[in-house]
Amino acid sequence: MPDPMIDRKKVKKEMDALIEMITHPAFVAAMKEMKETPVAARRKLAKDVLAVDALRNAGVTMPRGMRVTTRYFEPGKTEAIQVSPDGRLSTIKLPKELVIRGGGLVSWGGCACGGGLSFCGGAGGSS
Amino acid sequence: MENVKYAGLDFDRAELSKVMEEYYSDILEFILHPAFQQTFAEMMSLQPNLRPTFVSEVWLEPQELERRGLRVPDGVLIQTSAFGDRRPTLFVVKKFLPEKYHRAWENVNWTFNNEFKDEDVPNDPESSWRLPLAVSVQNALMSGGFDLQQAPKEMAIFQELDGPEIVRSEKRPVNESVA
Repeated sequence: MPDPMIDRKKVKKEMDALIEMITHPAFVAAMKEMKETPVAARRKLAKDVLAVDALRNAGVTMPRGMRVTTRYFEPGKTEAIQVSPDGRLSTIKLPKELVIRGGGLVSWGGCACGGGLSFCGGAGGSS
Repeated sequence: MENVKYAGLDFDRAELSKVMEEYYSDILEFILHPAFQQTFAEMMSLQPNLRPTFVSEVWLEPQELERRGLRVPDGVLIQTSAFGDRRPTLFVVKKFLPEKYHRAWENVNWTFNNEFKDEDVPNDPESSWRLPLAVSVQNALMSGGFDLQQAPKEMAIFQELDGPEIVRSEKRPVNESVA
């Protein structure tokens, strides 16, 4: 059995900081505003209301390394594709099973990730 | 933490915090299971470019996880994903919150990445809110040792206007500069 690489105390501490951040009224208000915005306009809005500096200016304590980004979840395995040594990709198709939720594929989320860490806590709100 | 009633929502900060803590704890107990830790350690002992294949062959294979003594709890999902900032991510353990809270947050998760330097992954709004790469593309690039930041934007998924589809790369070199 290797030494544990995921430490309970460390994860719990990060989790507590994350919850404090993403439940902040300004963060929740920004997420709610996103939800109420047409999908096509969300990324443009997010660059303003969910930018790290904007949230910080609104009073949210943002842990070091915090990132708020678009995120896309894959519900299952993906098709394997080939990349040649010079970086050329073969054509790919979108697996039908990707379309599983009415809102589409792209979601957004906060993820408190410090540089170099191999794991981090996050939360998301699907579009 | 001071409790606050959220404007326009039928729950307050204390309630949301409590349910998030409960759901995170479910994830936490799963990822702290000895079989999870052992499997995670095995993956991280591999070279970074070999880990996407390990994810596909182990983390996304329920039978393989069971063989290793790991049962995924009901309501917990193991998935792959891609971020707009293109950090080199491997897989995520996720749990959906009750629907009541989806007007704010929909899920909580714990994400596992290849190690990266913070300065190597941009954190500005323009970069952060790009459309993510398709996971299959991302993983192929990671397996080939390519820099995800250099992948042309045409490799991103595209879903905002006409529904989901992947914009194809059509033999464009990864390191080709794109305006």
